[in-house]
Amino acid sequence: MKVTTNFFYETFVANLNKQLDAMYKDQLQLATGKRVLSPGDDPVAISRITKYKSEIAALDEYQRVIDTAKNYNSAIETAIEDLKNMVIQAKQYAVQGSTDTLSATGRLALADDVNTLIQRSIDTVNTKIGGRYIFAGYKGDTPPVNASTGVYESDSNLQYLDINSFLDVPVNLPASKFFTYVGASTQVFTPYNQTDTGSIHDVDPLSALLMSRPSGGAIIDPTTPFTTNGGTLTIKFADNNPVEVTIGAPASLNDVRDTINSQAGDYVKAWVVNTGTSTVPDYRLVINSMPAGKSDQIRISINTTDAAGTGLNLLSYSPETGSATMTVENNINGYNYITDATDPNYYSFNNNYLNESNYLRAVYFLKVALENNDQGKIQKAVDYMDKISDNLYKQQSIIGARLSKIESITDYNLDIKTNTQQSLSNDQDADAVQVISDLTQRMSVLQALRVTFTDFFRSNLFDFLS
Amino acid sequence: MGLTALFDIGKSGILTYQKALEVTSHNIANAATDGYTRQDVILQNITSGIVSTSGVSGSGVKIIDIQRMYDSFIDLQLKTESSNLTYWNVFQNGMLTLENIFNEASDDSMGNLINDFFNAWQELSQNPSGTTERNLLLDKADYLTKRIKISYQSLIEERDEIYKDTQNLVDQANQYIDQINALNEKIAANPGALDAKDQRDNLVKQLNDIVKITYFEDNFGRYSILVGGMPLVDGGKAYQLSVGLDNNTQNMKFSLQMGSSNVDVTTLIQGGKLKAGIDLRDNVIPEYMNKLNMFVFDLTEAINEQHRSGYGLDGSSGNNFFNSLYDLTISNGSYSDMAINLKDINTSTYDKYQIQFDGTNWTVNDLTTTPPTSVSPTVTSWTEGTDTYYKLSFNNIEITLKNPSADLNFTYQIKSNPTMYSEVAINDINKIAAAGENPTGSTSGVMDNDNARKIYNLLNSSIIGNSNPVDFYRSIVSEIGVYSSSAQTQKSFQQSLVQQIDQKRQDISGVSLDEEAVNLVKYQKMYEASARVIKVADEILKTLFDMVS
Repeated sequence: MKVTTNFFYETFVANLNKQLDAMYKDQLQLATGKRVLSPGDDPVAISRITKYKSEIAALDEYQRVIDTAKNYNSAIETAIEDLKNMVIQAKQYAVQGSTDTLSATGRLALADDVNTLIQRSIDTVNTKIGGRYIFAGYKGDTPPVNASTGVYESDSNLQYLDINSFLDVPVNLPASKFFTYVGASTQVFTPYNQTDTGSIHDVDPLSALLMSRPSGGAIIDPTTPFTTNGGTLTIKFADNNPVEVTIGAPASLNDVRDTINSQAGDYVKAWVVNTGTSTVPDYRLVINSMPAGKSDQIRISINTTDAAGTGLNLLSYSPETGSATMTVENNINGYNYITDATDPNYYSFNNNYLNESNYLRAVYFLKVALENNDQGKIQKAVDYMDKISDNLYKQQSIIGARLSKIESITDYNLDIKTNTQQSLSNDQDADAVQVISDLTQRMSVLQALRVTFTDFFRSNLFDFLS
Repeated sequence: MGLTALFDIGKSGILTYQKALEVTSHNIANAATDGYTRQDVILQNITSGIVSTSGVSGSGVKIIDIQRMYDSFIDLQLKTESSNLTYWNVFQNGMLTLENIFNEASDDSMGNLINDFFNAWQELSQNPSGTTERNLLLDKADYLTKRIKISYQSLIEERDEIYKDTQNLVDQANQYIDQINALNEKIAANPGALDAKDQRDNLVKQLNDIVKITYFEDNFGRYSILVGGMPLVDGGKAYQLSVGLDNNTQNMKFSLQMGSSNVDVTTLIQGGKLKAGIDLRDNVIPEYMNKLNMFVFDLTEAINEQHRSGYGLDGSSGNNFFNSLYDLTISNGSYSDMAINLKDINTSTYDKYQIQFDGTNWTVNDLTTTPPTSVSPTVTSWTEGTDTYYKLSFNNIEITLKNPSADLNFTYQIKSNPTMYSEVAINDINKIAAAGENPTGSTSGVMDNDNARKIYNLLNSSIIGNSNPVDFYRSIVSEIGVYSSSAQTQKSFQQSLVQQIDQKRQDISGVSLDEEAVNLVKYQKMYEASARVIKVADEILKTLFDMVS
């Protein structure tokens, strides 16, 4: 085979270009640090690179979301911690207030302290972090709790953030869940003895004497005659002198109540309550001590000609003589536990039913009890403080769960990101050592190419013809 | 035989070797000339024609032919393969441009912008009432649409560029055709014009690089040149190529002027630069323009649909986030929402459709065809709460209608080149619908991020045809990569093939300086020897003359 000069040149140039081209690519890889410089270099890798990059971008964004979620929830946790401390403080005041030796002025001073706690609690719940009220719902731009009425005015929506493609976490905690009531018509800061319509009400939430059921069946209408013959009730409260209450005949349950209240009102209060339901009524007479909380010190003896088990005979309480048709009860249905929200006394201060898990109402209960020098209620408030404390722990554990969810997803995301970055690097990045070694190899080939070329063409046959 | 015959023999040697030296010098001079075919002298002895008893003696040497060292088979092979090489060269170059437009390897890639856009929604979900987040989102959305538009524009420009190149190439081809025709006549008149043949072969080769041709030599030594069976040069006539754009498809259309009529030769063009231009401009690039269109259209529709169901800070709802990319005329009835999803793009995607509902049955008519053709859609329906949905599928289009009235009658048409119309529709940041419920109402508020989260999650939903946005986009990129890398491979393969054949051609037709040097010495020595013969004859005569004087 004949090797012509022209062909030799062409081949040389082609080889030279091939080497230079490869070296250019190597050089570019080193300069950019990337193995794949255009889709054609490795179409499969470029597809994966795009995917990895997208995943990493998403993970970076999730990290930002996680930071936000963490900020909000940590703030909520801190705020709840503050509330807890305030409850502990309130409980200390309650314990202090319930001691017998404390004077009425001493209790008033404590009431002031409790009032400060109430204001601080509201301020805490109205905390604003990064422009949003963390204890509000979607209406995060307005304070959730009205400082003057104590009512929750926001909505109950949880704002969720996606911290991963398959997990979300809320970043707010509507205060309606533990702190106070919702809605403008509800009353949190009610006076000592007032219903929501403003009428005076004076039910004692503590224990009272409860009349037993007549042997003939429940009284379904308190205005029908109760005693056929009338008689006399001798009522004695603690060390006071006995009071004689004379009941005419015939008299309804309501008449008996009114007579007792007008003649022995200094020491006891009588109430007619429906201990049954609205469809199956069961009206009874309830008598409690004045002041409240000491009903077990009441003694009632009866002088009547009513048949046994009926009429005034149902109202005796003298355990020492064995004659006691009334009993001391703590939880009398319809008297100190109102479950029906349409009942006019539902929001009454004395109705303690809803205080237990309602922070603001419970603390306010303590404050009013202290102001009124009401030792029995102060005692009761101690229990309430424990219950709200429990509830706060519950809320805190919810937030704790959120934070630990965030924490574990942070680790998970980080793992995924590290792996993805590793894969991206495998597909995308140039192996510097490999490239440099390739480059060196090519350089020596190029060197050899140049040397042989110049050597080859330095002389040809013409040089030897002279 | 006379003594003077020696002079004649010497003379024939001198003249012959002088000619041989000329040929050798010509070879040396053209050692680097592209397409030059080495010439060789064929020598023959001259017989005296006189037969004596002692045998026949010759009367010198002569050149009977100067040959082009030429193998027509290898030359044909070379032309065919180099035409393929130019095809791949041009094609691969075009793919490089496409690669640059869709370069995901760079950091400022479109894939990143898609992520940025969706991440902006995620940012908004963290602070739905934030002015900064809202403005950022509009910025990112605007940049995304602009960037896609620029890529699309580049594709359009690339098509224009290829058309211009093709026009130039056709002009060039016509020149070559004329020149070959002229050379044909010269060679027919003077068959020994070797260098004219070289020149003609060169032109054929260059013409062949532009468009793959077949050729053969007729009895007069003229080349007949054909493209796909149609003559470009034949029997002393040259036919001119021309290129234009088809009115309907805007594809390139090639025709050949034959007398008064034009013959369409578009499908006959195979190989060469022209074919590469056709493939790139009218097949590959439109495919990716369609994919971009589908991406933009489906993304717009999916984001808009979700956005319409949400609420802005000002309590507004039902707003589109991006400009709608179809024209709609409702002539009767109503619906509460409509969304279109393209599963693929074909020739009937951009047609105008009329859709009617009579309460039970749906009818779809394609109004673009004449007469309008009826299309039968596949209908599925379902209810969500109190809402009734219908999904109509036809021609790879999926239309979802919410609560259509029983007398619904409307027409719609997707804008052609929808990408160019892609634009953010929202300009008041308070109208960005991040909320799932009305934030000015009682049950919701400014921190409602429900809709923003739903829009972000579209990133992981199959909203573009049947894949999610990033997957769809990366399939485009990777496909271009595959095209480009196979074009690269084809090109390298073709290159080495051409090189190999060229080597064979050089083996026969090429000039080796060493070989020529040997010939030079050889012919020089022959020349010297012939001169010596004359000198000897002279001396013999002189001896004879001396005897006489």
